[in-house]
Amino acid sequence: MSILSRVRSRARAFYAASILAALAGVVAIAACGGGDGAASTPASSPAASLSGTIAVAGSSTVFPISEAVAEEFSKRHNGVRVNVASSGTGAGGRAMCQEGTIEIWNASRPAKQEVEMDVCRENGIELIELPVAFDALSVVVSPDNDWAPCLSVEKLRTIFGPEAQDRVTNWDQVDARYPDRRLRIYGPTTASGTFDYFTEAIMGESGAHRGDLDLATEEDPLIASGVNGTPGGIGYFGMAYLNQYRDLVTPVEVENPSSGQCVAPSAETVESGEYLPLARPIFIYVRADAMESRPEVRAFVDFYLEEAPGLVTDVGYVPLPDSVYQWGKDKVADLVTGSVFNTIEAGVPISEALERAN
Amino acid sequence: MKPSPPALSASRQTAFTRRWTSWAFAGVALLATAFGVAALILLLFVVMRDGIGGLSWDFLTSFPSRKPELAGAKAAIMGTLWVMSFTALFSIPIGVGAAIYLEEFAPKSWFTRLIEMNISTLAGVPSVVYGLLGLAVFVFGMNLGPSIIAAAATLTLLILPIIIVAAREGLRSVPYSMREAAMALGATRWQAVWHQVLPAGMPAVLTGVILAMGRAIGETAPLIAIGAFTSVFFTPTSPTDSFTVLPIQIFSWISRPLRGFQENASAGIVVLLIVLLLLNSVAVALRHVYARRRRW
Repeated sequence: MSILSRVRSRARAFYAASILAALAGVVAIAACGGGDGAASTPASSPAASLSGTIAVAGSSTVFPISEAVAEEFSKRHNGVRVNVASSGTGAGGRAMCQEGTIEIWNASRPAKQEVEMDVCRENGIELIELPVAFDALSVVVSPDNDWAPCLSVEKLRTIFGPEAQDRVTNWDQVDARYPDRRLRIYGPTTASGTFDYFTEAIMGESGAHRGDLDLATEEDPLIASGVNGTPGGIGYFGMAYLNQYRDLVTPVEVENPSSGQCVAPSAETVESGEYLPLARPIFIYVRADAMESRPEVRAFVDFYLEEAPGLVTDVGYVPLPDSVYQWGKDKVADLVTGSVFNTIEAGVPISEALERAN
Repeated sequence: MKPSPPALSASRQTAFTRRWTSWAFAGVALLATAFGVAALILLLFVVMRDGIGGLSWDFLTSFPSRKPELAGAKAAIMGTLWVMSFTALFSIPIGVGAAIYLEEFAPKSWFTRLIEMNISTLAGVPSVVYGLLGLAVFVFGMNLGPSIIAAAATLTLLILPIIIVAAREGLRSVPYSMREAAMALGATRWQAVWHQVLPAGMPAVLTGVILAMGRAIGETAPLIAIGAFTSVFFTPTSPTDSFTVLPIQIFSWISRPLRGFQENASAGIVVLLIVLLLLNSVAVALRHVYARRRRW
């Protein structure tokens, strides 16, 4: 092949590539322009005067609540499109602060100062922090377990802590009075918010946990059935799911570290602040500028705080005291930004947290 | 009785062993086939058993809900149809076009070999990587947001190598004499390709398209990476709308604790299979049309 023809064939290849690229561009533009709907547009109701699109993303723990609110809100305001993504608290924070693609961030923990609040501020985004519900964990044992109706934080640490790995394998090692029974441990995977929260509240350090679980799974039914099937089994999952598995597992009372009292996991003990340290508030964070300039975002957040108590119960979480929702509504009205909860450790009663905020 | 000569007995032995080996191999191959078929039947059986009960008109026409009995797949079905339509619109012309160029026009140079090597490498890249690429290029770079068009463009990148490889094989299966005959009658290279080679190779090209669309319709990871939503309470009306698709909706239901959602997930899988079969049946019908039209 002569040099000339080689050059020519290279040029031909280049032309063909650019023709293909141009074709792709034309198709893309044609597709963008030709947006006539093959799908049916939602029927507009007379009450719907608001319009726009609201993007919500973040924690999979908060997701069911935001989804429920979006469901009800969409029924009332047909013109507003609310999208909810279950992408994880961290990813939601990035979408909010770095990418600026969402208006509302679902967070199962308070926003971190350096990772989120500061980054948001650098990008000109101010956040309004709104607690929306309690997320509570319950530790469960097999119905055959009659020796440990109540466990202290220390004992939970002995059972689940990183030092227990390959060492604590029997119930009599947890307490000499407990029977000689093989300890079987069931829990969530390291990817879950439940895992993060449990390790923070019990071990005092996020991620500190033994690694030799008999089963680590994101499927709560598997934890419940695993614990049910082994007399020496113990596990933990979100309290929201406890009622579903009451016939399979027995919830353990947890000793409140400050009062020394054994407290059973229930809506009442969570709200009163007695069930500590395994109950935490969960949040949504809203962009202040969107609240100010976009009536549909404002309407959605107002609706969220108004309807939260009922909807939170519907999806299995524990509602906050009315005073906390009222506190949120006041914050929204005055557009008060910044995080109060990121300076408050897990296990502090919410009433105390609010007092510290004011 | 004379003892049979050792040579003959040895050859009989060999014949027996040889035949037996052949039978054994056929048996193993049959077992392998049966395994695949059994897995498919089991899959269909389990999905149908769990999912058929949850299928209803309401399921197809309702938006997601916190209550499993009210939740439906409308938004996800429409989202999947929108995304797949645009994926087909982008990927088929580009994929077949690239295949035609590489097979019919490209000179055998280091440049085309480089392209070929790139394409086969791309076919093996994990799908979530395409998601990150789509996020950077389409969602942010071209500022399309987490829209249907960004999703379709991302899925197009994902399935393009499959379509190109299959389409090239389809074109290669057309005897070279067809091109020579066309050109001997005065047709240009382009006319030979467009009027003879492409229609003749179309059945095989369409098979590749079916496989590629089947891959795309089930993808979750790249769409989550570009920011697809989980719960959507409207049906898209334009390609720039946000969306959700069936696999994401199914995954979301599976990870819920309430038993009713598990049923919804199974029903969603049945719907996904039906949508996939519908899309495929269009391609199969087209394939038959082209195969019948072929007169040689």
